[in-house]
Amino acid sequence: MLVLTRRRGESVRVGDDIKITVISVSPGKIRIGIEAPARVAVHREEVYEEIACANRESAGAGPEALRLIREVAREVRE
Amino acid sequence: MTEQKCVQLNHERLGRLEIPLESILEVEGLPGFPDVRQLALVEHDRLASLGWLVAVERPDLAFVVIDPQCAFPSYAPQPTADDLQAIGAEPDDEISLLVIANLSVAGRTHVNLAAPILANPRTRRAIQAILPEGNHSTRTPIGPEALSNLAGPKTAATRQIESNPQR
Repeated sequence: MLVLTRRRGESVRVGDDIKITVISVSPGKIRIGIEAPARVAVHREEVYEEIACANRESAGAGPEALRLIREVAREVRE
Repeated sequence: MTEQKCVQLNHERLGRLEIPLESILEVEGLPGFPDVRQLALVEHDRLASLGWLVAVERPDLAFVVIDPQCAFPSYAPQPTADDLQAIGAEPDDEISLLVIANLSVAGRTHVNLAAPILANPRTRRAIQAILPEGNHSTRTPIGPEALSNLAGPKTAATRQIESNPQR
């Protein structure tokens, strides 16, 4: 991991088109501003990881998944 | 009759699939699966509102997707300008909205309303939009009644008209 020291108002450039700026610093937290093109998705790590986790859980769906849904549907109708 | 160009896919779970080229979506980053760039939308042949998103490069991956309108009629996420730009949306485009179902726990089905799939059929580009925090859950339970709605036969209103819904 690259580790840099920055002061308030200073920035870091990632590639040609991403700029991360330190907006403010207070004990225990910092505010950062991120300028990036629309194609680059920016999310808090824990939010991204929750979606990734949900995706991984849902990714192995085989034919049994639809069978399950059909069984539920049949029970409801009967 | 125009000849339809198809891709043959031998899927580990779903068997042999013939996928029309226009059903293949270029996806810009799927959290958890950074190597997946193409997803094929495979509609279920008999059931309304259900389908699969099959990873073209990973034949072990398939997601069950549903049309959320059937089960969650008030669900209307607002895509951000960045989301729309990512799928090349123009004002007249009809954007498809799908949500991924999680059937990994027997008898308890959840859907991920926090991160719907937005697809633009015209550009064949799709993203998994991550909605603002707190509005929706990645594990929204879906009850038997709603599942039953989803599993109903296709009607004339859906894209493919089912000639014999009773099989």
